[in-house]
Amino acid sequence: VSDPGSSEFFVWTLFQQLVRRDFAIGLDEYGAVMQSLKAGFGWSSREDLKQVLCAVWASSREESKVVAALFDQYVVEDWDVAVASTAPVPIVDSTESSLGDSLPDGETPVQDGASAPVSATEEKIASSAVAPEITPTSRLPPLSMEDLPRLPYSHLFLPQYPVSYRLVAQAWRRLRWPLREGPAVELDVDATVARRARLGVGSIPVLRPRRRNQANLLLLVDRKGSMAPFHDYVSEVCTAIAQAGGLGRVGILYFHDTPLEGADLDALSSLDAASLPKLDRIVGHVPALTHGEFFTDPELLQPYPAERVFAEWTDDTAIVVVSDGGAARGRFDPARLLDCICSLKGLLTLSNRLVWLNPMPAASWGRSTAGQIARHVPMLPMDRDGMHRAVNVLRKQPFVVEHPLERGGQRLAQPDRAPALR
Amino acid sequence: MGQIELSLSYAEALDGLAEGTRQVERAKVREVPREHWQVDTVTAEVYKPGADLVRVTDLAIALQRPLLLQGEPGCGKTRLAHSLAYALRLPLEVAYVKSTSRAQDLLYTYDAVRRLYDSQLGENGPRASNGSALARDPGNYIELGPLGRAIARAEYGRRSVVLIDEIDKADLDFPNDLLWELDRMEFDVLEAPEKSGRAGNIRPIVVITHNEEKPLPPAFLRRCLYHYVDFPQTRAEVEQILQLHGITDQPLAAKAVEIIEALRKRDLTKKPGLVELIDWVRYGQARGVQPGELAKIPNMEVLLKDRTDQDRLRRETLVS
Repeated sequence: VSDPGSSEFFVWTLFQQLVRRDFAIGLDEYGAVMQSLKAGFGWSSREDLKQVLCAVWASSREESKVVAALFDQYVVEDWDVAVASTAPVPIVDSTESSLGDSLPDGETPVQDGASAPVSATEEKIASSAVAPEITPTSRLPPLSMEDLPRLPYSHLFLPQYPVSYRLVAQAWRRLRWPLREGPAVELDVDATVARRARLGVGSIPVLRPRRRNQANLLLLVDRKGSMAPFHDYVSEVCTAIAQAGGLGRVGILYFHDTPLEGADLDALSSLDAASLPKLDRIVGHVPALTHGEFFTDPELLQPYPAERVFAEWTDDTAIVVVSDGGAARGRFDPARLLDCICSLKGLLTLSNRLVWLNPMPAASWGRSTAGQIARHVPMLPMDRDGMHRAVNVLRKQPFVVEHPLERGGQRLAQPDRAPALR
Repeated sequence: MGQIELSLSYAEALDGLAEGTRQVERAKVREVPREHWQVDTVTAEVYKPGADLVRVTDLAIALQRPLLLQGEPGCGKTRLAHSLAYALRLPLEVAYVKSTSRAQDLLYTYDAVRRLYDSQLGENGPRASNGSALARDPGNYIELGPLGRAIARAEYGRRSVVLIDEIDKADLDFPNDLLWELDRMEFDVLEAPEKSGRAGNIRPIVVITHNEEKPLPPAFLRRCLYHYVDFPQTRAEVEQILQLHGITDQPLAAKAVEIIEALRKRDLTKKPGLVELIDWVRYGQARGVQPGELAKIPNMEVLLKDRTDQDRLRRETLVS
């Protein structure tokens, strides 16, 4: 844009807002809107213009709502088509009917104008069509509520999350476990050649199923309490993973505070005050929790026995625990820590691909229960970078934790290097 | 960025469009002829698009971008392409996407196995009209797909409408593999380069329907114009649609529209769409159902396709 001054065309501002919201649109799409305006679309009413923007820039109902809501924040005066067409036509000089609903004929030299630079159009629109006239007055006239123009909206709230739907999907698409499954549609060259060589005559080609991503993902999500502020964000992330992650099977189960409960708290009594907050001395001995309940609904009303989880999910399942681990309130609770550790030990008996996503930033984990959990399992913040690293961990890239949890003789991460790198 | 195409308008073509038949170039042919094409008689599509949909369609034609339609099942996404093709007198190439569809199938398929068989027959193999063996030329085993035919036709200066139905049924890669072809409207046939197609200034009009089963890749969505086909907003529109479908019993139609409006406001598992409504009223009219009887929702199986919805309504109508 040549002139980033006060008269910036609001459609351009709107476009930039959408780009910041991570809409998959580029200058081509901005140009497409300009071309449409030039061709006579979107002039008959406010709604008409909004529809053009939605059609070109949105690609789902949710996105349409965002475009429409942001559009409504700009108060554009509706004008009367009859009045407007008697005034000098701002854009297409050669056609008189271009402001109405009907399209100009193919014969009109609109296409010559189509190659003009976009910024020129924009300035024309900004200066001649949209900007309201201003008449200076010495003092403000009295204003009653009835005189105020009705705004086309009451309140506009649009959530904006730290990581957009698209970026979440991008991160989790990297979790791949391709297996051949489904109908045989792909040519197996080696097998075809081998069969031809063996039979000595022409034979039909050997087909095999295509590779599909069969990565299984189990999301265990903390709800209520200190997680309440993150509910919307967490459910947006979970939806994005489930819908767009392209994974084989995605399951979401909910819990409150600790994945499973019921660890024997007597174990804590053997610890002296000096060793707290660390539970390292007892971590090796406490039994894994494999009993208890998760919930299938976010309101924690429909219980789902943990035994079913262990029976239904395979040992290559990627497990993601989503919880602040007490970091939101910054408290340390040894009982909660013990429950968490025992639950995690239990989950590790199912699969050793496990990672903890924390919606609180890493700096806040420190002295809370979360800080201690992070010493035992890979814990990552729930931002873009954290999610990419979480997927790396689930893809079995090494991740160093201070005191990995034992898993039947195996260890979660590289135990040898852990103390040295502390 | 392409040129703006204003020579065609769906809105204008719909104006004064009468029922009947039209002569339109035959689609789905084995080879697209340069001239002297065959003609099919196409019957008018009984279809009443909303004003918004017509505008967006014209916008898509003008910007020469694919039009992506989403909406509840049975709201007429697919019918738009048929109506558009009829209104503009263009051949309609349809690609029904299946879970095993590959992007390439839309452009062309190469039957290597048949060529192998033919070549093994040697001298006795099938021959072309000029006497040479078919198997000598791989081009004989290339069959163009719907998009491929539309591009080939465009190369000869004729436009077509391409419908890619239920694109989300295919693999995630399917839409991505079509990006270049939809952008440039050209494709290469590796096995027989002379069969490649390039559309010039005349480009096919592409309509894509999408059922929200799987999200589409952003790079693909960016290139499309998006429109959500909603249930008609006003009663008058619904009544008009019913009338188009041969519902002459005005009081019956009015009452049915009232009931469907109430039903759609409720929290049903599957809301009845236009298709369901049309079937329901047509049957009611044929059976001579009185408008007053409709409140009990006879033959509700046509309207409600979910057991819990049916049970709920049955209980309520019994109580009342």
